[in-house]
Formats: sequence, structure tokens, C-alpha cells
Amino acid sequence: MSDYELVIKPHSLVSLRDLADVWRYRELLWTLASRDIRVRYKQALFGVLWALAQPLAQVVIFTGVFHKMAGIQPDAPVSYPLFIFSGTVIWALFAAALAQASNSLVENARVISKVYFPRVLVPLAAVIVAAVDFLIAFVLLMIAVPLFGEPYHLSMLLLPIFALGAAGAAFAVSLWTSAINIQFRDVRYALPFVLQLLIFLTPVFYPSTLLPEDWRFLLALNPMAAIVDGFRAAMFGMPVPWDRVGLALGLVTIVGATGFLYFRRMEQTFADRV
Amino acid sequence: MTAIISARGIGKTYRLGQSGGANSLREALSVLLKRKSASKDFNALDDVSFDIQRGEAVGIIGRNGAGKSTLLKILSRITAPTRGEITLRGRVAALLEVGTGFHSELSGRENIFLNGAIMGMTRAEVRASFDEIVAFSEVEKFLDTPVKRYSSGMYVRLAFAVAAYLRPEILVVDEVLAVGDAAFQKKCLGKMQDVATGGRTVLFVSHNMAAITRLCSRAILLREGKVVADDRVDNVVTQYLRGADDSPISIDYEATGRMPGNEHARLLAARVVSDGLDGAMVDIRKPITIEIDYEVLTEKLPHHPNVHFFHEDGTCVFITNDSVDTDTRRPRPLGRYRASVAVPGNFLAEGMYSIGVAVSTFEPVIAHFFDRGALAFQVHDPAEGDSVRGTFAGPLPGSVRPLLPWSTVALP
Repeated sequence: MSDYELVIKPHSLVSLRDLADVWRYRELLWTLASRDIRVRYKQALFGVLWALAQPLAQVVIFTGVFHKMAGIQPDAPVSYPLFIFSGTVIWALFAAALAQASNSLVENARVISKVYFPRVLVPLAAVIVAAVDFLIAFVLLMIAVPLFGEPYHLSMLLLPIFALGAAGAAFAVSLWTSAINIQFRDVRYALPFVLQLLIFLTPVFYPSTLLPEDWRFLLALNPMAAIVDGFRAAMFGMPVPWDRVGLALGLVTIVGATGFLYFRRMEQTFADRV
Repeated sequence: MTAIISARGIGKTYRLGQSGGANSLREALSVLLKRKSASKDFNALDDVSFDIQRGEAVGIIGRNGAGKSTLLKILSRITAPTRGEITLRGRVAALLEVGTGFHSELSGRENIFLNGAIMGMTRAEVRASFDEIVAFSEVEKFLDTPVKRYSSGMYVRLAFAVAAYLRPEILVVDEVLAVGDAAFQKKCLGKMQDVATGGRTVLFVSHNMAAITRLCSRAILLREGKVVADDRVDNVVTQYLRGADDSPISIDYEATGRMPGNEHARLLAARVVSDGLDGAMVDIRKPITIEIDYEVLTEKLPHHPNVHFFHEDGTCVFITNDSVDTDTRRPRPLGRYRASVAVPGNFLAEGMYSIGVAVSTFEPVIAHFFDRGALAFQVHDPAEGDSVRGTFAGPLPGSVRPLLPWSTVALP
């Protein structure tokens, strides 16, 4: 161990040692995630059913409101409930991961102020917890496909790309929001509101083709729009809009990289602020 | 040999006035609009430098607020220093609070793995120490019970065991022994001693001077964020106990503005008075007086001042109060009072004592204030032949050491 040497200094935004630490502590990532999953399902009487109840209820309600009342039609040749089901499943992954990850540092305040470990694992573990709920809902979605008389497409093999995209987008944004939340608890109140607005700015209930041509560029500003469209295209065997998806993943990378720097800068003071 | 820890000019500055900055956007905006920074800088640590060699056990002592905990937090990478740098040449495991990584809904078994992972162990490493951890903590039967159903003793034992069976090169321990019973404290100290004699480095923060002296060979004394002594442990402990301006035998709450109390009564000051005092060391033969200054704020309730004497291992030696005094059975008029109690010489045994001061009402039972570690002093025996010890130099057990009348007659 004589080669071990660590220098503690006031500020270092990116250091190889700290990045190596993230790898060294990788088991903690799974332990934190499995802790939250266990606690969740241990205390909930119906456990897994809750992960299913929300998307199912949304499908029923939104089918009634947007399809029957507002007369919105899907752009894919599938029935509207399946169209909306696929949209809510991928959206819920993003929304739940972002909400849980944003609050994760504050919820783990006690541990953060008493033990060192790479802090970035905390929001990352929260994203993994949300991914478990997604997987349960996703299995249900795949069961629903033949029930609605749809075939399985080869392009469904691309679905993990979009799931990772949604989880990645949530993680990228949460690097900002979780760190800001330490200082300004307003995030906790603002975020559900923002997510509620954002779901209407994302083609979850409606196809993006419903928007007038001149307005569609706005969707490019919202990476989740391309990810939801891409997920659906792969789901129903339609051409994937790779240009928009590529742009979205690029945007997510930029948000994530700048978020990581911000997170690193704030990380130094987490223990003093929580 | 290169030092395993070298600290050079460590400083940590906190912003006072706002707890680490504005806590909501609204506060941030109002600060911005008023263009007035209400914050004041506070140096928790200032230009702290030291070297610690492999295998050393070092005690860190000082009064509350001297910067001990901040130093440990920087060493364990929980918070970053504002200035200076520390070079660590070994892995650090820090035990700053027992059971921080625990989740109350999870079982003891699950928590062992969770806490191990938080402290940087792999599952394989935890599994390798699992049986030892369980044996040390004595919770075998409850391994699959959620820890929220554990007694506080079981909880603390399990938490300490997980940390103690890490295999760090540097073990950093903060006052964790304050919890748990005397037997458990002894067990923990023994375990820490094993770590130190096993060639690993131990940094230990405690108010328990006896424990520091037993465990450490060297001590660093901090005062207001600065190192004021760094030397052999007995020299530093003596200096701490003798400290003139910074002594644990007198505390003036009014001057600091933090007066313990409630709407009925509050504590103003407390002190140890004796003509046998040398700093915080008191001659075993001399009587000691404990004075409590307090203020009565309402005339609704009678107030009983009381004093608690704790021995260095945490056991309460005795409690004394003035309930026999008929004056105290009815409320006193508003105003400031000084209550004092005299403890005779040749009564307390040698050792460190910490004194808790309180004012209570007995019917109904209300503790208006209780400062458990308000004062501290050490009783020592110069062994001049006129105490129980006589001229005997070896260890004498016992919590009290009264000089009792003996007589011996020859039997026919």
C-alpha cells in the first residue's frame, strides 16, 4: 500500500483520482439502489402492482380525454391506447428518475454529512431505482402489444437505446437539479410543476406530426420529444428520426457534462450545507 | 520514513449569518436586492500543520468549537479545506457518528452490507469479516429483524462493529464512545487499541482524557482552530487541563449568548471553585465547590438546582440537589441566583470527572436546563501520605475514596 497517495486540496473540478473512486465504489451504487428498491417494496402492501397501476390509470384517463373527447389520432397505425401506453412508459421513466434523483442528495443528507463516498452515486442510484419500475411497466407493454393485435417488430431491439436515452437525460438534468436542491429547496416544489408542463410539450398524448410544420423546430429543444418519438418508432416498426435523436443525445451530453462540472464544484460544500 | 498523514497550512472558513448560503431562492433574491451581505467569516481551522507517522495513535483534544470535528471531516474527505493541503499515504476509514449509513427498515444483515459499502468495502470484503462483525456486536439472534426494532444498545454495537472490522490504514474516530454502556465502551476502546498496536494509524477525538491517555501516545491540542500543542499525550492533556483562558472548570454562557434554558429559568454560568485547583487539576484532599448561576424568569414554579458527577467511563457517580432546603419548595422571586454545593475533600477518587449542571422542578417533573458536560476536572493525589493512598503508588480502584476512621486493637 506504500504507493497509495492522496492529496486533499481546496478545489479540484476534475481529478483522475476522484473518477477512479467512482469506479472503486461501484458496488455501493448497486447497494444504494437495492436499498431503495427493497425499502419501497417491503413497505408497500401491493409492491409491484403500484408500478403497474400508474401507467394503466394514465392510459385509461388519457384515452378518454385526448382520444375520445379531443379526437387526437396517433400517427402510427396502432390503436390509441397502445400509442399512449408506449408514450407514458418511456416518459414515466424520465419523470420518475428525474424527480427521485433531484431529491436524492437531500434525502441522504445524514450520510453525506458523515461519510465520504463519490456523491454522484446518489442521483445515479435513484435513476436505477426508477429504471426498475420502468422494466415492470415495459414488460406489461410488451404483453399488451399482441393483445392489441400488433406484431413484434425487429426494430424493437433498438428500444434499449431510447430507454438509456431517457434515463441518461434524467441523470444529466439531475446533476444540476440535485446539486441546486441542496442550496435552494425550491427545486422540490418547482420540479413536479415543470414536469407537468413538460409532458404537454412532449409528444406523449399526441403525435408530433400534429404540430404545425413551423412549430416543430421547438420540439428539437426538448430532447425528450425525440426520445419519445424514437421509442415509439422502434416500437411500431416505423422509420426512426435519427437526425432528431442524434441531436437530442448530443444535447443531453452537453447538459450532462456541464452538470457534472457544476455538481463537482458544489460537491465540495454539500456536507456544509445539508 | 515519510509521514502517513502530512497536513500543511489547513484552513477552513465558514460563512456565518447564513447557514452555508441562502436556503431558498427567496432568501437569495432578498440578499441580492438589499445588496447587503449579512454574513461574517468564521475560521473553524486556521493554518493547521502536522505530520503523523505510520502506526501512531494520536488524540485530538480541545473544547467544543475548537475545530476538532472540522479537522476530522476534512481528513475523511467529507468536506474540503478552504486553504492548504493534506497528503494521505493510506486509506482512511472514518467513524464520525455511529450508524449513519443504517436504514431503519432494513434488517441487521442487510445493514451490515449497506454500511460496509458506504464505507468503501466490497461485498466480498464484508463477507470475509461478517462472522467477526456479528460476534462483536452480539446481535446474532436479530440479524433478520429490521434495525428499527433494535434497542439502542444493539444498534450502536452493530454500527461500531461494522466500522471496527474495516481494514483501513488510518482509522479516524470521533467521540463515538459517548453512546453505549460502560462495558461496551471498554470493548470499543480495546478494539481501537488492537488497531493501533497492529501497526495502523488511529486518530481519536474525545473529551474523555483517560481514554485519550490510555489509547494515544501523542496528542494535538486545538484552540480556536489553531494548533496550540503537539507533544506527548500526558504533556498535552496536562496543558489542556491547566489551560488558563480556555479551561474546562469555568463556563460563562451569558458571554457567549447561548444560555441553556426555557421560559422558566436559564443558565448563566457554572464553575468549579477550590483552593486546591491547579488549572483543572484538583488535589484529592481539598474540598471542591460547584457554583451555578441562573436566572429565574417566571414565579410559577419552584426551582431545584442539581449537579451530576460523571466518572470518565461515563458512569454517574452521584447526583446532588437542594430539595432539603425548605426555601426551594416555593417559587423564588424573579432575579438572578447563585447556587453552590460543596463536595468534601478526600471523597472523589482520582480520575477525570465531567459535571452536568441542571435546574429542575420536581412536581411536575421539568428539566429547565441540563448541560451534561458543562464542566470537567481531574482529581489527582500528590501521594504525600495523608490521603487514603498513603504513599502507595499503584492503581487503586473505586469511584469514591473517602478517608474513613479506622481503628485496630490487639485481641487478647
